[in-house]
Amino acid sequence: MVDLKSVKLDAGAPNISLWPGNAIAHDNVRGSQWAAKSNCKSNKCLGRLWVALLEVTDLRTHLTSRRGVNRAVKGVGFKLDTGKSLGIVGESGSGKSMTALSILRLVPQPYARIVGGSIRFDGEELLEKSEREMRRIRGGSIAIILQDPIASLNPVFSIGYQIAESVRIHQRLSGEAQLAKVVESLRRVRVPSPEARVRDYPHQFSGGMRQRVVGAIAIACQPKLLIADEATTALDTTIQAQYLDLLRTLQRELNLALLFITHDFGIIARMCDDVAVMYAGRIVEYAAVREIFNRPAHPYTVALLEAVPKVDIRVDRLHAIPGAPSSGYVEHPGCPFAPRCTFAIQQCHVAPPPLTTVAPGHTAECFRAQEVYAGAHRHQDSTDASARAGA
Amino acid sequence: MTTAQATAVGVATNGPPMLRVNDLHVFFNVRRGPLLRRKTLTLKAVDGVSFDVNEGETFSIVGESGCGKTTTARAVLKVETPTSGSILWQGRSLEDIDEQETRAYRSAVQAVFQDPYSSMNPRLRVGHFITEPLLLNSSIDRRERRERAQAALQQVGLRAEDVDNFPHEFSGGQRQRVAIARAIASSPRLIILDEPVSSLDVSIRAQIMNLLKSLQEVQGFSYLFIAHHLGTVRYMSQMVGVMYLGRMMELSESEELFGNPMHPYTQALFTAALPDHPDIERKDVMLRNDVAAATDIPGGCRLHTRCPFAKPVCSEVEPEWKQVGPNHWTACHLY
Repeated sequence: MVDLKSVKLDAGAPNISLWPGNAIAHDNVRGSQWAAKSNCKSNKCLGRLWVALLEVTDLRTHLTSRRGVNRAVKGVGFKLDTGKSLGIVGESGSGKSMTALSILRLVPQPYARIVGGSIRFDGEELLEKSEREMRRIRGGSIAIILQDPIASLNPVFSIGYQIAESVRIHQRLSGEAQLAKVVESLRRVRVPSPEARVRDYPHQFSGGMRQRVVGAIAIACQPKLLIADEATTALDTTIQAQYLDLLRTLQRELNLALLFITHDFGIIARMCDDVAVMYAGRIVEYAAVREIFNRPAHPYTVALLEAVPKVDIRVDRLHAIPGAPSSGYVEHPGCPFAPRCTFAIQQCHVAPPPLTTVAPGHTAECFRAQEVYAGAHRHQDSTDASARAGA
Repeated sequence: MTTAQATAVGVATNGPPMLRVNDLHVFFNVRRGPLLRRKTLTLKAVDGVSFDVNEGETFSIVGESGCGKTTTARAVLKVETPTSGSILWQGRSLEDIDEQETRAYRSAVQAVFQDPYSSMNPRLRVGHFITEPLLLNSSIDRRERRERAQAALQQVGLRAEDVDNFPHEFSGGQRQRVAIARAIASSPRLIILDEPVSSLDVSIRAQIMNLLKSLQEVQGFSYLFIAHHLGTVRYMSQMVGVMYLGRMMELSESEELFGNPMHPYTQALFTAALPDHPDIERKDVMLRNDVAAATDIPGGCRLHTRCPFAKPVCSEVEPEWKQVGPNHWTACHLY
């Protein structure tokens, strides 16, 4: 399962191991902390080893097209526990959606193939499951909400029928019990007068309400893990805020593990406990949400945060990142971000960067992570001061 | 009321504004309902909007989808005919100008849209796309057009040789640069930017916004900037108008608006805006329900069905436009 030989649990000292040898996740240190805190109900207890609800290790997903092989996901690893939320943030082509789809084994076959790694969910290896077993898991214990509610809903069936579908299949309920379940999940997502609306069709709902219906389908069978893949990107600002509040309430009520896939650091700031920043198919930085915002340790995270125009402070000039995101078709001998990186040194172009632990639970794949982390810390103090002055 | 508003805005600046939109209304007739009982309804996309755009300045319109911000821009571009109200270009109404002046107007006002690829012909080289607005001016010959296209490409950070490339040879960010090159090729005065960075990746967004800002500094363009992302609006603009259901709710100098939002709708937009940092706590103004249909706008203040501060008067009387600070106006019964 997890190669414990390369995990150093002494949190203080910098923990450096070279990839591609590092099959383990960025959060190895935090993993032990969680285990100490969380109760036994939420975790499977295997001997003396605590296991998180979801453990992705060294996941590799490749896409094949006429242009060649696109290494969309190149060894991604993370853990997610019950009641926690993890955000995967990255630009288009970073592999964040492919990671989400790989967990459900919904990658578009035969072009896409999961070529390696392990996905352990609730103590079981998903990559070894048969298609039949996977169908029981999808919509059952793992649910996903996608960006476009119109595409997720079928226009010719009532929403009640569509919610009932998953209840019927996964929980084998029928008649009264089934209807009660449908109404209950509509009520949970705060659709007004759910008894009356079960007979309505998707076009009779507004955009925000439609996405709530998709949410109702997702939670109908009490999943343990909910994946939101850009779930609020298509919604208007005020509707998006309502929906994010709803997801947070649902997480509390149902004790869900939430996996957010997004390009928006604002969603991360609002919703997530932990953050994984992806670039070119790798998690380049992993930390708790405040750590990422206060002391980013990877130059890419630093640059991304500085490239976003702020609502709360006046910014005179944004720091744009030169060039365009790296494509999965290109093989980099060194760090894939090096061509765009202001911190890049000669080494970055020739050798893969090491996984560096800059603080307990905070890792970055960068030769200069320690320096960036130290520098970002100083920089943050000044922006903090200016933010306070502005407010 | 709206004339007073326009005058008030005019007082703040010297001389006639470059573009004045005065009590603009744009209505559409839409047919709704089942086949035999189909009714024609009036959709009020823009329902009384006034603002000025001054030389070298960015005026932003911010609002959610369906609030009429794009329709307003289309009316300024003379694509949509106003139902009533007027658009004045350097003091002259667009309805009064003759064909020749219209042509001059069309080359002085250019536009950049959200998705540049859909406005390009995939079979034609981008040089053709960039020089199309120059065809309005018959005194520019083919060679000069090409030179101008090359110059424009260089100004937006691409290479002069790119003039012979096809749209598919560019990445998303580069395509938006090409669209900007087209907009600036005819040396316009005003550029309408309709969500120009919304479809771009975060790292590319900053590049394009910085490009637009430096072009403005160097060449003195005015921008009418349409967006829904508040951070982007704050970064780009001097003046901001907040629209809801076809009407301006608040109009203010940008920094004043972000520091002191007055209208409940603006406050709700700010509450809903995603935070820049996990520790940011926002003033908590949440709207109820969904946006009303533009075919059935509530009477009185159009926000009263959603507003947490609504009073009885709000459902009866449409609020007057009031000045609440220097360069800051709002239409709300609370003030």
